Amino acid sequence: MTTRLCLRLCRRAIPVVPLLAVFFLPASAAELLLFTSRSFSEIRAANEGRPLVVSFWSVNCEPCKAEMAVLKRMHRAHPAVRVVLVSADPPALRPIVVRFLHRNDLGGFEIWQFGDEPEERLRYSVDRTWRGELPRAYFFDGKGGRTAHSGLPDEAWVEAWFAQAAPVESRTAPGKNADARAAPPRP
Amino acid sequence: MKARLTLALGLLAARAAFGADGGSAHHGRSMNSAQTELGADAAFDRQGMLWAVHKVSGHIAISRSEDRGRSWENPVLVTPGPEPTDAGGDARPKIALGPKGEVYLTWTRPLSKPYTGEVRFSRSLDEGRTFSPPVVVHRDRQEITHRFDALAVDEQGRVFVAWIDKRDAVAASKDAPYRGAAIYFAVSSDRGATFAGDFKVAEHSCECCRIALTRAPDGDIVALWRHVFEPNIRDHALATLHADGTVSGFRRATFDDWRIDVCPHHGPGLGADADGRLHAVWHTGAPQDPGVFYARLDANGPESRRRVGGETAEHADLAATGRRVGIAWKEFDGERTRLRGMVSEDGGESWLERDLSATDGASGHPRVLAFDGRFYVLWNTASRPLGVLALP
Repeated sequence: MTTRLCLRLCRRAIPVVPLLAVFFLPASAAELLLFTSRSFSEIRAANEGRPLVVSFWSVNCEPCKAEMAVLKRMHRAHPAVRVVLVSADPPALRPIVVRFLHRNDLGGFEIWQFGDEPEERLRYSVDRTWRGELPRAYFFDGKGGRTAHSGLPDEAWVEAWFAQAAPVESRTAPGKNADARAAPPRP
Repeated sequence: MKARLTLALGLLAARAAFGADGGSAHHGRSMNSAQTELGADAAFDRQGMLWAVHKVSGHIAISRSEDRGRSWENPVLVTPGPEPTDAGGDARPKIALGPKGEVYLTWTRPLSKPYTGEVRFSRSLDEGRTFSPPVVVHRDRQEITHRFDALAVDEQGRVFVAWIDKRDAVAASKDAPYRGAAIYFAVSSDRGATFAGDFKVAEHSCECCRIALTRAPDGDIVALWRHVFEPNIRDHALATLHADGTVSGFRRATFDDWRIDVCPHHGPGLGADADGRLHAVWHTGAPQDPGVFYARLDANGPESRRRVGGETAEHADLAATGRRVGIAWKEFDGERTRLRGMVSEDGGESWLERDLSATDGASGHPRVLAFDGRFYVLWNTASRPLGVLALP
């Protein structure tokens, strides 16, 4: 019923929205993508060989907001790292997720939201050991290294990870850069 | 005006993005889009009638079953209109029954700001035919967190409602950030007509996990919840709530040492056996040994602690009757969500485990109930609404 209603609304909305959206919408709200049990592999495949952070969050999770702020700051300094945010909120919360995205400028991030499949199936498609705690983030260094982290990570660790995954050659003194390349400890 | 227009367009745009993608998402399975509406609770009355509270077309509703959940009478709508309920993973409406056939219900209604909500209450004094207009239980009416309601009735028929409350966090100085939230409660001694409160149980609880309440054989109401011990240890705490608003016996109940700033969305289950011993089941993400665990919560610490289920076990619940203890939980096997259960005949020393059911669709968290020495599990799934499984 909900799906049918949505489809009807969507059909009406599609011709109007893209035109107006250009003027009124931050990119993030217009590009909220549906996360299915295939999406995690697709996101990884699309970013093969480059550093990638996939961060799962929820509008009901306060520590998630703090993690988002850290990722935003890091991404600004290291734009070569791709950052993907996935709202683990059920589809019924879509309006609240959209409102959240309006209030928080997350331009530059690809943003997804959990779709209709059972939540445990979606989580399993990401990582069978993930029990649903948020924030939950995956750091892929583009060279085969993967670190999973639950909860707000230590900021120094995140900084070191970004610096190692995408060194900013022009802004960093050689000596400091060499330090940053040392393997960071776990968060 | 501009802000409103932008928001409306945002909603449409989001719908468009979902609609365009939606067709490819289902792998041919029939999925329930309203997973959040599957939160349900149930209780047996003294005659063995099973009462369930659940969502029906957005309304809070109750249903009755005379045959242990094999068939249900038509639901009675409690709220006059559809009413949003908290969609936090651990949230669900609650039901408790009074000694004179009273039906008490609570649920959390989200407010407009993120993380906020109010705990609502309705009662029926005519065996579930009509329900009172919902009222807010807590006196504090700030638009802040009053969420994850828990409901219990003590031996004298007094109604206890506990919840997670952020008033202390809001009042705290910005220079000294507050650890977590707090647990508060209110008590009604007049069959839910009025509530006295708000009484504080403890400061520094976790913000997003359900609270477990149970009635001990001596009539006391005992609460178990995920706490935030210093500096950020998300293990569990226990306390006894009294009708005069006092609290006794606060102590740490689990010792997994899960140090993290996170929303686990994963609260505990609690039951008291005939000897007054407390049995609990809980989840921890402590990296050295994550999973779901059972233990008897003796005064000296957890006894007979053991793992429950496999790597993907989650959202366990527990009940106790006599010396028997029953546990049920969900476990996703890569294809289907399985409902599993285990029973101990000897107060938690030895266990027999079995498969109870499975679904490939959406499902709520299981709820274990005891009646007449036997266990039953309420499992509300998209494919089998208000399913009840015997846990032998």
